[in-house]
Amino acid sequence: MTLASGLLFGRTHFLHWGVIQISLANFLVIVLMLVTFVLALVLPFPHGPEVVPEPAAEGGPSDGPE
Amino acid sequence: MAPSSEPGSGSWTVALRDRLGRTVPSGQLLPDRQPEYVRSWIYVFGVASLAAFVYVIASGLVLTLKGPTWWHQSSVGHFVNSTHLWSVELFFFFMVIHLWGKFFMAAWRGRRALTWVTGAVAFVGSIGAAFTGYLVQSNFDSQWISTQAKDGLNSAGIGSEFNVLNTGQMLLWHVMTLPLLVGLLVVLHIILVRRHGVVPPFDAIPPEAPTEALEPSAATETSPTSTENPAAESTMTAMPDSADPPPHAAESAGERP
Repeated sequence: MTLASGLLFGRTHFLHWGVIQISLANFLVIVLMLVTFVLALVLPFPHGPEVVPEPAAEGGPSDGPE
Repeated sequence: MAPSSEPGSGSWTVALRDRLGRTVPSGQLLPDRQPEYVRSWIYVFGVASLAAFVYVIASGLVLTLKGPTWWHQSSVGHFVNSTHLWSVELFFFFMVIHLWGKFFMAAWRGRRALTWVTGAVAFVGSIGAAFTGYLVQSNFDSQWISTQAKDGLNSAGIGSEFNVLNTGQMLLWHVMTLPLLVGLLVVLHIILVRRHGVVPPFDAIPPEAPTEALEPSAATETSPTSTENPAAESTMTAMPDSADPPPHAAESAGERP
Protein backbone atom coordinates (compact mmCIF):
# COMPACT_ATOMS: atom_id res chain seq x y z
CA MET A 1 0.00 0.00 0.00
CA THR A 2 2.84 2.34 0.85
CA LEU A 3 4.49 1.55 -2.46
CA ALA A 4 1.24 2.15 -4.32
CA SER A 5 0.71 5.44 -2.50
CA GLY A 6 4.21 6.51 -3.41
CA LEU A 7 3.67 5.65 -7.06
CA LEU A 8 0.26 7.30 -7.31
CA PHE A 9 0.64 10.42 -5.19
CA GLY A 10 4.36 11.09 -5.05
CA ARG A 11 6.53 12.60 -7.72
CA THR A 12 5.64 11.21 -11.13
CA HIS A 13 8.09 8.57 -12.33
CA PHE A 14 8.92 8.41 -16.00
CA LEU A 15 10.56 5.68 -18.05
CA HIS A 16 12.84 6.58 -20.95
CA TRP A 17 13.83 4.46 -23.92
CA GLY A 18 15.41 6.74 -26.49
CA VAL A 19 12.67 8.95 -27.88
CA ILE A 20 10.02 7.04 -25.96
CA GLN A 21 8.98 8.54 -22.67
CA ILE A 22 6.09 7.19 -20.63
CA SER A 23 4.96 7.57 -17.08
CA LEU A 24 5.35 4.54 -14.87
CA ALA A 25 1.61 4.50 -14.10
CA ASN A 26 0.65 4.43 -17.80
CA PHE A 27 3.28 1.77 -18.47
CA LEU A 28 1.89 -0.42 -15.67
CA VAL A 29 -1.66 -0.05 -17.02
CA ILE A 30 -0.51 -1.15 -20.48
CA VAL A 31 1.31 -4.14 -19.00
CA LEU A 32 -1.79 -5.03 -17.00
CA MET A 33 -3.93 -4.86 -20.15
CA LEU A 34 -1.52 -7.17 -21.98
CA VAL A 35 -1.51 -9.63 -19.08
CA THR A 36 -5.31 -9.55 -18.89
CA PHE A 37 -5.54 -10.11 -22.65
CA VAL A 38 -3.28 -13.15 -22.52
CA LEU A 39 -5.10 -14.57 -19.49
CA ALA A 40 -8.45 -14.10 -21.28
CA LEU A 41 -7.12 -16.26 -24.09
CA VAL A 42 -5.63 -19.06 -22.02
CA LEU A 43 -7.80 -19.33 -18.92
CA PRO A 44 -10.72 -21.74 -19.24
CA PHE A 45 -14.15 -20.20 -18.96
CA PRO A 46 -16.17 -21.67 -16.11
CA HIS A 47 -18.92 -23.88 -17.43
CA GLY A 48 -22.36 -23.88 -15.95
CA PRO A 49 -24.05 -27.04 -14.83
CA GLU A 50 -24.41 -29.45 -17.69
CA VAL A 51 -27.99 -30.21 -18.58
CA VAL A 52 -28.56 -33.92 -18.69
CA PRO A 53 -31.34 -34.72 -21.13
CA GLU A 54 -34.14 -36.69 -19.70
CA PRO A 55 -34.75 -40.01 -21.39
CA ALA A 56 -37.72 -39.98 -23.66
CA ALA A 57 -40.64 -42.12 -22.73
CA GLU A 58 -40.65 -45.50 -24.39
CA GLY A 59 -42.36 -45.41 -27.70
CA GLY A 60 -43.14 -41.74 -27.32
CA PRO A 61 -41.65 -38.75 -29.10
CA SER A 62 -38.90 -36.72 -27.59
CA ASP A 63 -39.89 -33.66 -25.65
CA GLY A 64 -37.87 -31.43 -27.88
CA PRO A 65 -34.34 -30.17 -28.14
CA GLU A 66 -31.90 -31.29 -25.51
CA MET B 1 -58.20 10.59 -43.57
CA ALA B 2 -60.04 7.82 -45.29
CA PRO B 3 -59.39 4.33 -43.98
CA SER B 4 -57.16 2.21 -46.16
CA SER B 5 -58.33 -1.06 -47.58
CA GLU B 6 -55.39 -2.76 -45.87
CA PRO B 7 -55.01 -1.81 -42.23
CA GLY B 8 -51.70 -0.10 -41.65
CA SER B 9 -50.67 0.09 -45.29
CA GLY B 10 -48.73 3.25 -45.98
CA SER B 11 -48.38 4.02 -42.31
CA TRP B 12 -44.92 5.14 -41.27
CA THR B 13 -45.31 3.38 -37.93
CA VAL B 14 -45.93 0.08 -39.68
CA ALA B 15 -43.00 0.70 -42.01
CA LEU B 16 -40.75 1.53 -39.06
CA ARG B 17 -41.96 -1.54 -37.16
CA ASP B 18 -41.29 -3.77 -40.16
CA ARG B 19 -37.86 -2.20 -40.64
CA LEU B 20 -36.92 -2.75 -37.00
CA GLY B 21 -38.21 -6.30 -37.20
CA ARG B 22 -35.96 -6.97 -40.19
CA THR B 23 -32.96 -5.33 -38.56
CA VAL B 24 -32.79 -7.64 -35.57
CA PRO B 25 -34.37 -11.06 -36.01
CA SER B 26 -37.08 -11.98 -33.59
CA GLY B 27 -35.71 -13.32 -30.33
CA GLN B 28 -32.16 -12.07 -30.93
CA LEU B 29 -32.39 -8.66 -29.30
CA LEU B 30 -31.96 -10.12 -25.81
CA PRO B 31 -31.02 -13.74 -26.44
CA ASP B 32 -30.73 -16.34 -23.71
CA ARG B 33 -28.60 -18.73 -25.76
CA GLN B 34 -25.20 -18.19 -27.34
CA PRO B 35 -22.91 -20.29 -29.52
CA GLU B 36 -20.59 -22.67 -27.70
CA TYR B 37 -17.50 -20.67 -28.67
CA VAL B 38 -18.77 -17.68 -26.69
CA ARG B 39 -17.67 -19.62 -23.60
CA SER B 40 -14.38 -17.73 -23.54
CA TRP B 41 -13.14 -14.86 -21.43
CA ILE B 42 -12.23 -12.91 -24.56
CA TYR B 43 -15.94 -12.54 -25.33
CA VAL B 44 -16.55 -10.92 -21.93
CA PHE B 45 -14.85 -7.60 -22.56
CA GLY B 46 -17.47 -6.17 -24.91
CA VAL B 47 -20.22 -6.34 -22.33
CA ALA B 48 -17.74 -5.29 -19.63
CA SER B 49 -17.08 -2.13 -21.66
CA LEU B 50 -20.82 -1.60 -21.94
CA ALA B 51 -21.30 -1.97 -18.18
CA ALA B 52 -18.54 0.57 -17.52
CA PHE B 53 -20.07 2.92 -20.08
CA VAL B 54 -23.47 2.75 -18.39
CA TYR B 55 -21.87 3.74 -15.09
CA VAL B 56 -19.92 6.55 -16.78
CA ILE B 57 -23.18 8.02 -18.09
CA ALA B 58 -25.04 7.53 -14.80
CA SER B 59 -22.32 9.11 -12.65
CA GLY B 60 -21.89 11.89 -15.20
CA LEU B 61 -25.58 12.72 -14.97
CA VAL B 62 -25.25 13.03 -11.19
CA LEU B 63 -22.24 15.33 -11.58
CA THR B 64 -24.09 17.57 -14.04
CA LEU B 65 -27.00 17.90 -11.62
CA LYS B 66 -24.87 18.71 -8.57
CA GLY B 67 -22.16 20.89 -10.09
CA PRO B 68 -18.43 21.58 -9.53
CA THR B 69 -18.77 22.93 -5.98
CA TRP B 70 -20.36 19.68 -4.89
CA TRP B 71 -17.82 17.37 -6.50
CA HIS B 72 -14.88 19.47 -5.27
CA GLN B 73 -15.97 20.14 -1.69
CA SER B 74 -18.29 17.43 -0.39
CA SER B 75 -17.15 13.94 0.49
CA VAL B 76 -19.98 12.34 -1.48
CA GLY B 77 -19.16 14.59 -4.41
CA HIS B 78 -15.52 13.53 -4.20
CA PHE B 79 -16.60 9.92 -4.20
CA VAL B 80 -18.94 10.21 -7.21
CA ASN B 81 -16.36 12.24 -9.08
CA SER B 82 -13.75 9.57 -8.38
CA THR B 83 -16.01 6.74 -9.49
CA HIS B 84 -16.74 8.71 -12.68
CA LEU B 85 -13.02 8.82 -13.36
CA TRP B 86 -12.37 5.17 -12.50
CA SER B 87 -15.32 3.93 -14.53
CA VAL B 88 -13.79 5.74 -17.49
CA GLU B 89 -10.47 4.03 -16.74
CA LEU B 90 -12.22 0.67 -16.69
CA PHE B 91 -14.17 1.56 -19.83
CA PHE B 92 -10.95 2.13 -21.77
CA PHE B 93 -9.22 -0.84 -20.14
CA PHE B 94 -11.99 -3.22 -21.22
CA MET B 95 -12.49 -1.55 -24.58
CA VAL B 96 -8.83 -1.84 -25.55
CA ILE B 97 -8.79 -5.57 -24.73
CA HIS B 98 -12.09 -5.93 -26.62
CA LEU B 99 -10.44 -4.16 -29.56
CA TRP B 100 -7.37 -6.43 -29.47
CA GLY B 101 -9.51 -9.55 -29.28
CA LYS B 102 -11.71 -8.52 -32.19
CA PHE B 103 -8.77 -7.34 -34.28
CA PHE B 104 -6.95 -10.67 -34.05
CA MET B 105 -10.29 -12.42 -34.62
CA ALA B 106 -10.80 -10.34 -37.80
CA ALA B 107 -14.21 -9.39 -36.50
CA TRP B 108 -15.17 -7.68 -39.76
CA ARG B 109 -15.72 -11.10 -41.38
CA GLY B 110 -19.18 -12.21 -42.46
CA ARG B 111 -20.49 -8.76 -43.45
CA ARG B 112 -19.63 -7.37 -40.04
CA ALA B 113 -17.66 -4.42 -41.45
CA LEU B 114 -20.16 -1.86 -40.18
CA THR B 115 -20.04 -3.45 -36.74
CA TRP B 116 -16.27 -3.02 -36.74
CA VAL B 117 -16.46 0.55 -38.06
CA THR B 118 -19.04 1.68 -35.49
CA GLY B 119 -16.91 0.20 -32.72
CA ALA B 120 -13.76 1.89 -34.00
CA VAL B 121 -15.44 5.28 -34.37
CA ALA B 122 -17.00 4.94 -30.93
CA PHE B 123 -13.49 4.28 -29.57
CA VAL B 124 -12.17 7.46 -31.18
CA GLY B 125 -15.17 9.44 -29.95
CA SER B 126 -14.59 8.09 -26.46
CA ILE B 127 -11.06 9.47 -26.51
CA GLY B 128 -12.48 12.91 -27.29
CA ALA B 129 -15.06 12.56 -24.54
CA ALA B 130 -12.40 11.58 -22.01
CA PHE B 131 -10.13 14.41 -23.13
CA THR B 132 -12.84 17.04 -22.75
CA GLY B 133 -13.60 15.52 -19.35
CA TYR B 134 -10.08 16.34 -18.22
CA LEU B 135 -10.62 19.91 -19.46
CA VAL B 136 -13.78 20.53 -17.40
CA GLN B 137 -12.57 19.37 -14.01
CA SER B 138 -12.38 23.07 -13.07
CA ASN B 139 -9.08 22.75 -11.22
CA PHE B 140 -5.40 23.40 -11.88
CA ASP B 141 -5.07 20.03 -13.59
CA SER B 142 -7.59 21.03 -16.26
CA GLN B 143 -5.87 24.40 -16.71
CA TRP B 144 -2.52 22.69 -17.26
CA ILE B 145 -3.95 20.17 -19.72
CA SER B 146 -5.83 22.80 -21.73
CA THR B 147 -2.85 25.13 -22.03
CA GLN B 148 -0.67 22.25 -23.15
CA ALA B 149 -3.25 20.93 -25.62
CA LYS B 150 -4.03 24.27 -27.27
CA ASP B 151 -0.66 24.39 -29.02
CA GLY B 152 -1.08 20.96 -30.53
CA LEU B 153 -4.63 21.64 -31.67
CA ASN B 154 -3.68 25.05 -33.06
CA SER B 155 -0.84 23.49 -35.01
CA ALA B 156 -3.41 21.09 -36.48
CA GLY B 157 -5.53 24.05 -37.56
CA ILE B 158 -8.64 23.24 -35.53
CA GLY B 159 -8.05 25.54 -32.57
CA SER B 160 -10.54 28.12 -33.81
CA GLU B 161 -13.39 25.60 -33.93
CA PHE B 162 -12.31 23.46 -30.98
CA ASN B 163 -10.93 25.88 -28.43
CA VAL B 164 -9.74 23.97 -25.39
CA LEU B 165 -9.32 27.23 -23.47
CA ASN B 166 -13.07 27.86 -23.82
CA THR B 167 -14.39 26.03 -20.76
CA GLY B 168 -18.02 26.51 -21.72
CA GLN B 169 -17.50 25.03 -25.15
CA MET B 170 -15.55 22.08 -23.76
CA LEU B 171 -18.17 21.48 -21.09
CA LEU B 172 -20.94 21.23 -23.68
CA TRP B 173 -18.82 18.96 -25.85
CA HIS B 174 -18.25 16.75 -22.82
CA VAL B 175 -21.78 16.55 -21.41
CA MET B 176 -23.82 16.77 -24.62
CA THR B 177 -22.25 16.30 -28.04
CA LEU B 178 -19.72 13.57 -27.44
CA PRO B 179 -21.82 11.43 -25.05
CA LEU B 180 -24.67 11.63 -27.57
CA LEU B 181 -22.34 10.62 -30.40
CA VAL B 182 -20.72 7.78 -28.47
CA GLY B 183 -24.06 6.63 -27.08
CA LEU B 184 -25.67 6.45 -30.52
CA LEU B 185 -22.68 4.58 -31.91
CA VAL B 186 -22.74 2.13 -29.01
CA VAL B 187 -26.46 1.47 -29.57
CA LEU B 188 -25.89 0.98 -33.29
CA HIS B 189 -22.90 -1.27 -32.54
CA ILE B 190 -24.98 -3.46 -30.24
CA ILE B 191 -27.86 -3.67 -32.73
CA LEU B 192 -25.42 -4.78 -35.42
CA VAL B 193 -23.90 -7.37 -33.09
CA ARG B 194 -27.38 -8.73 -32.37
CA ARG B 195 -28.20 -8.66 -36.08
CA HIS B 196 -25.14 -10.55 -37.30
CA GLY B 197 -24.20 -12.38 -34.12
CA VAL B 198 -20.80 -12.36 -32.46
CA VAL B 199 -17.96 -13.19 -34.79
CA PRO B 200 -17.01 -16.86 -34.59
CA PRO B 201 -13.42 -18.01 -34.10
CA PHE B 202 -11.48 -18.96 -37.22
CA ASP B 203 -11.83 -22.65 -36.43
CA ALA B 204 -15.55 -22.67 -35.73
CA ILE B 205 -17.46 -25.36 -37.56
CA PRO B 206 -20.09 -24.00 -39.93
CA PRO B 207 -23.49 -25.43 -39.08
CA GLU B 208 -23.83 -27.07 -42.46
CA ALA B 209 -20.49 -28.91 -42.27
CA PRO B 210 -20.98 -32.61 -41.56
CA THR B 211 -18.89 -33.73 -38.61
CA GLU B 212 -18.33 -37.14 -40.18
CA ALA B 213 -16.31 -35.58 -42.98
CA LEU B 214 -13.64 -34.48 -40.57
CA GLU B 215 -10.73 -36.48 -39.35
CA PRO B 216 -11.37 -38.57 -36.25
CA SER B 217 -8.82 -36.50 -34.38
CA ALA B 218 -10.85 -33.44 -35.21
CA ALA B 219 -13.68 -34.50 -33.01
CA THR B 220 -14.76 -31.83 -30.63
CA GLU B 221 -13.24 -31.89 -27.23
CA THR B 222 -15.09 -29.40 -25.14
CA SER B 223 -18.58 -30.76 -25.38
CA PRO B 224 -20.78 -32.65 -27.79
CA THR B 225 -22.23 -29.39 -29.00
CA SER B 226 -18.95 -27.56 -29.34
CA THR B 227 -18.20 -25.81 -32.61
CA GLU B 228 -14.47 -25.66 -32.03
CA ASN B 229 -12.33 -27.77 -34.28
CA PRO B 230 -8.65 -26.91 -34.52
CA ALA B 231 -7.91 -29.64 -37.06
CA ALA B 232 -10.26 -28.26 -39.64
CA GLU B 233 -8.97 -24.74 -39.88
CA SER B 234 -9.13 -24.43 -43.66
CA THR B 235 -12.76 -25.41 -43.68
CA MET B 236 -13.57 -23.22 -40.76
CA THR B 237 -11.78 -20.14 -41.97
CA ALA B 238 -13.78 -20.03 -45.15
CA MET B 239 -17.08 -20.14 -43.35
CA PRO B 240 -17.63 -16.57 -42.24
CA ASP B 241 -16.10 -15.01 -45.35
CA SER B 242 -17.49 -17.17 -48.07
CA ALA B 243 -21.05 -16.09 -47.62
CA ASP B 244 -23.17 -14.17 -45.30
CA PRO B 245 -24.56 -16.78 -42.98
CA PRO B 246 -28.06 -16.27 -41.81
CA PRO B 247 -28.08 -14.39 -38.53
CA HIS B 248 -26.97 -16.64 -35.74
CA ALA B 249 -26.79 -19.65 -37.99
CA ALA B 250 -23.91 -21.01 -35.96
CA GLU B 251 -26.02 -21.00 -32.87
CA SER B 252 -28.19 -23.73 -34.24
CA ALA B 253 -25.12 -25.94 -34.46
CA GLY B 254 -23.54 -25.13 -31.18
CA GLU B 255 -25.91 -23.74 -28.68
CA ARG B 256 -25.03 -24.08 -25.09
CA PRO B 257 -27.70 -25.46 -22.87
